[in-house]
Amino acid sequence: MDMQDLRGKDVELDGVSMRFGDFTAVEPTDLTIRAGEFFSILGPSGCGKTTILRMVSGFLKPSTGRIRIGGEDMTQLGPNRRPTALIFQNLALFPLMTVWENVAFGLEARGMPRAERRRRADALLELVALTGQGDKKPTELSGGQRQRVAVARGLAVEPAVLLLDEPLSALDLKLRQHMRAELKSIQRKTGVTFIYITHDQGEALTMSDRVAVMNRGRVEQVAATEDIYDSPSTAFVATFVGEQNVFRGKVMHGANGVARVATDVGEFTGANRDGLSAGDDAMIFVRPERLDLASRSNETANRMRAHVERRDLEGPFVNVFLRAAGNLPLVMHMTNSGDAWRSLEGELELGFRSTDALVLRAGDLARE
Amino acid sequence: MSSLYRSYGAVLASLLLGIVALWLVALIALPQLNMIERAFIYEPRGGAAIQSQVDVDRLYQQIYTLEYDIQVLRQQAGAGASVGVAPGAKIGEDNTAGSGLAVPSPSAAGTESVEDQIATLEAQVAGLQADLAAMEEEETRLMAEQEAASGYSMRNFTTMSGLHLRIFGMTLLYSFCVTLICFVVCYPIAYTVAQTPNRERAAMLMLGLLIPYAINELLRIFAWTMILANEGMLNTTLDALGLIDMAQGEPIRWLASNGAVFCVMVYAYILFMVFPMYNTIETLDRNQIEASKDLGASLLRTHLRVVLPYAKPGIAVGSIMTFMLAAGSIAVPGLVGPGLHPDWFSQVIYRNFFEAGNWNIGSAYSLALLAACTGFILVNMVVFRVGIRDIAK
Repeated sequence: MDMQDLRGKDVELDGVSMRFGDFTAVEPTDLTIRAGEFFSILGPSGCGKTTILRMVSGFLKPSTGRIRIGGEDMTQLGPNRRPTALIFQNLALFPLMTVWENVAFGLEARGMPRAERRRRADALLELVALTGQGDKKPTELSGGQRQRVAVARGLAVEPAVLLLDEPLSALDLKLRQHMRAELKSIQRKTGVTFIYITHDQGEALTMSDRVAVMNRGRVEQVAATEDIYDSPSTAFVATFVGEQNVFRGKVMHGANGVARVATDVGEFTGANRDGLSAGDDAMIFVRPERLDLASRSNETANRMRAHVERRDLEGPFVNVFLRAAGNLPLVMHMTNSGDAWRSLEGELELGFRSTDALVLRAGDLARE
Repeated sequence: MSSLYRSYGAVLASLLLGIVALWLVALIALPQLNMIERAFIYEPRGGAAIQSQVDVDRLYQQIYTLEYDIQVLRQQAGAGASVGVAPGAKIGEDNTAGSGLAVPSPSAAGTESVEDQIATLEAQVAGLQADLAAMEEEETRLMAEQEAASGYSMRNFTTMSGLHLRIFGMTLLYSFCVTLICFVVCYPIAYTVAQTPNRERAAMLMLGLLIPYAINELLRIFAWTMILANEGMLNTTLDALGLIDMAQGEPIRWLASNGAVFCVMVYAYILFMVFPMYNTIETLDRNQIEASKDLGASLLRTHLRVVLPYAKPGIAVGSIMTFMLAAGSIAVPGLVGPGLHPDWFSQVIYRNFFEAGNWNIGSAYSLALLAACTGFILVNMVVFRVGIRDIAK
């Protein structure tokens, strides 16, 4: 298949919601996915991300709202009439067909002659680096190869949007990391819009252009990957993506984008993203890699004492687990730059820069 | 085998194996072997040999009677009694008349002298004895011929009449039709039940299919004869709806037709088709059906390319069971189709065993049916490309 045949389209969710009886799986949601981008929907299981995917693919009709693909209203169309292709979590390859028949199945459904189907299937198999594997049965392939067959099968129908439902979850870590790069490169080569569903933040962050983080049927934040990590907009996003040290407290005073918060451990200053004012319940978030020994930081605004409980060597860095006042657990990442971490014991004086701390309105935290 | 001994101990395992062996030998192998042996033993019944045996016997009787008459006449001559009806004459008269031989009546020849009568009778005896020799020779020849014909041969098969052969062929064709109808009826049921996401509803549907099977098979069939009889529920309903007028004597004759037999058979064997198909379709990943739809396949293509190929082992098993049951059914054509002509091969077999008392022909016909059914199984396995292993699943 020629790459020129493939072109991504934008997907627009306009007030889309989904209710099953009394249960609201997806709250009314507005979401725009740009043409040709790699977009991930990230969230814990049961957050409604798969429901959104099934509504976009056409297997579910939304309770309210409209879904537009490339500007055209698709809300009432069935899955076989939409310019989307879905890669299932378990891939759902047809076990009785050969690899090339699997890939060409969508073309067969469109009434394309066999020789032409074969030619296109072979071209697609080449795209996903499976040249010459067309006559095998899917069961004869490895997990990663089956993965790529599923992608080729989806791309064969020249979709404007490829929907991927946690397709890497069944693979082992090494293969998963390899396939991330593979998927990313296929997306770049084809220019098709990818909507990728995952509960694995690593997958979302490494592959995506933009990420939507969902919780309890609501989209909490839509942002570029680096913003999701560095400037989470809610307590949930802050704690779901990456690790955080969380301090609960009350705002003492907030002004000029900076807030001072009183917590059980001490008084801290951080960026006041939500514009909180005195008396508001707040949370301060500090990434483990931004927490440091006070002796190495010359900032004096944010200081606390904590007791070392355990040190875990991860290789390039060390996780130091501590307890602060009020039995509050803390984590500090230290680069493994020599023997320094070996001497960390007993009571330590810790600190962090105000620009590395984020003050947000108190809210749901992601469960570990 | 060794695992059996390990899990049940020597005594229990031996007992189990013994029971299984007994079952295999006494209930499967021996009756089957007996049937096969009978099928290849030709048992001549009636025919020329028996007729000639009867003729020879009759001739002997005539000779004895004549000799008795001669004896009586001689006694009379010796006692000086000149005239009188010899007691044996009547017998002789009856017998000779019966045998159709021209023997002068002794009473008619009353005036003749006793010596003459004796001479006449002795001449007759001599004549008969000459015949007897020839007939006995003929009898021996025929018996030898029959002896040669009986014993192991294919005659039970080769002597099948044209009508029976036609019934045989038609029965196979009908059974195939029943299997086909059963498949067409059962596939949507099996698919719906197997792919219903609501397991409770699927269980209820299955229960609904099972309940009729709690009733005895004969009653199930009789229920249909009640529906289909001339004065049955179907005709009464049609009459009530004004579609037919039974008072004018025009009920529709549903019974004694192959349509009725097909209908009842499909009803009687539906479960044997539904269950194997249900079992295979149930294991089909729903995502495959969705994937097929998502890739733009129509409902028909999804079934032809994804569901049906997957369900092949189940279809094969269901077809085999339904075909075997239909081909061997005696109750359905017997109860629903009395007066059906030509009737089903199973009925011909039944009559050979229990009415004609000709077990050997019956065995031969059974064996022919068994061979045809086995052939059907093999063809089925080739067509559906399933191995015995798939079927066992």
